Amino acid sequence: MTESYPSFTPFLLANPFIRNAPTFLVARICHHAMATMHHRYRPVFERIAEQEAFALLISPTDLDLQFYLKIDADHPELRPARHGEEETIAAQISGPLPALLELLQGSSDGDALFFSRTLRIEGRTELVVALRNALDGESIDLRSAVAESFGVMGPAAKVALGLAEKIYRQLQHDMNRTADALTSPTATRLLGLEKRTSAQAATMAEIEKTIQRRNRHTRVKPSGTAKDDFALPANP
Amino acid sequence: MELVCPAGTPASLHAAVAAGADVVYCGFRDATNARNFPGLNFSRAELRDAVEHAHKHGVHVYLACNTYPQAGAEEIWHKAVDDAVAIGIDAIILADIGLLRYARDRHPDARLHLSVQASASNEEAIQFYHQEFGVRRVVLPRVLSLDEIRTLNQRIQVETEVFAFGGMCVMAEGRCSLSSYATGESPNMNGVCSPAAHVHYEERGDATVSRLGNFTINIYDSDEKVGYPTLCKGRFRAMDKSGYLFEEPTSLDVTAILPELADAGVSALKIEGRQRGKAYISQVVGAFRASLDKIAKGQHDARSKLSTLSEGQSDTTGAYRRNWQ
Repeated sequence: MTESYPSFTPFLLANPFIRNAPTFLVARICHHAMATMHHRYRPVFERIAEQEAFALLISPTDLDLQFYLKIDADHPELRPARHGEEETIAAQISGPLPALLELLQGSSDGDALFFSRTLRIEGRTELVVALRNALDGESIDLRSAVAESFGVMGPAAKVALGLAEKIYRQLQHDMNRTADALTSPTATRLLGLEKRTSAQAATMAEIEKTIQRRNRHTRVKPSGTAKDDFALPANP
Repeated sequence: MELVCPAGTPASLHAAVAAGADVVYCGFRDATNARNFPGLNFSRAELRDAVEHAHKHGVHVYLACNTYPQAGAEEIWHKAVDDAVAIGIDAIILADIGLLRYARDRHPDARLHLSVQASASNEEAIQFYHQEFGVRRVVLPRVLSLDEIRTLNQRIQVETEVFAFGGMCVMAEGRCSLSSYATGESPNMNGVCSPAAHVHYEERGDATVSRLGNFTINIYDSDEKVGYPTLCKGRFRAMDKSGYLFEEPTSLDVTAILPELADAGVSALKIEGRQRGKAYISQVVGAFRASLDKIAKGQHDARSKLSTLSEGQSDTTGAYRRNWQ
């Protein structure tokens, strides 16, 4: 399984907290999230039950954390992945967390994310395709699922989630601007280099054509002697 | 022109209806249709609900039953036709002549369309299907130019449906054996081109390697967009040059030539992609609905905003304009 380059999203900023968060707490949140999904979106698991139970490694490229996802109609499991369990993984899905969440909710097209290489897949493709199709067949609403999981505190959780999303969007905007500011001098330089390379490639192509033309004019005709294995016999 | 849209799941069908489809086409969850992918397609109960939902919104539903029955297993295909009629499908899309005859004999009132898988691309072939089986519409293979479609429409008595958006094919529809050669499973009989169980991706540094069975299809550099893992879209080396020998990974998009297609007498536009997600369905169907509505008002915007959804993130007007000639 491969490690990907980190994606430049606001989730990168959460890594210091995630790294230092107690493992049991992260595991508990994962367990709770899966239990909510299983309860709320049972048809997804029924649809995929046509396949055998299998495990996936979910690798958000902006988080210092990978998830072990076991797809089982009755006992699904989501938890932080552990070292040394690669053997039990049927496939790995890598991509920025926002893209993975959009895929989960069906608000982005999986094939389009794959064509643009936002999403990468390794391992048993048919299981990933089956999961994608099962998820896409449902109308998954993460905001409502999170609110519901907070029980009576649901409305307050919904407000908090709305605020978090607003902050996230602002952070993404600021990070994009920062990235543009940092990369624009290099991008300008690259553009110049690209133009020069294209011009040189065009010149090279012209030179190649000229050489070919000259070779055609100066090519020596085959002698047709007995030593030439491919020569036709001389006319009688 | 009627807008015929794909749906691989009930959620996609709802998305297509909401986005402005005139018709949604789908398939049963078995080998009777050419998109037999894991987790995709409809059970009988799901299709019944879907038809009810679509009809409530004034939208028709077609069933694709467009693979070729396997010898000795014809009952699966016969049952698909019978169930489609019982559910109240508005048209059945068929390719096999045996199945067309079965549908004609058992369900003389059913509306039959000829699938692109039948590869009927000339007047005689289309007239044969019309006269023998009562086919009322033909889905044209992606090999014809606009002029050829116009000429054909002047000479035949049936409606024509053409592909408007989505994945391209090597133009040997219903006859292609590339996937079968590589995997042992045929798109024509098993309903799967490049079945996912035979597809493997490997991340090699910055490069992505795609394989189908024992064949390496492509090695994409970090700055390249990816296409479907089909042999026809593979990059191969021949005579010291590597390149796309059959066709490049690109999608069809006819947004720019919609008025010309209408002028050529086309009755319906088909959007490809029952294997795609509901986000794709919403965006593509929504965009084509808006374009068709504009054309109805005498306006036309030739620019398409759908390139991010395209295979290889690039598009073409394919054989309609034959820019390569």
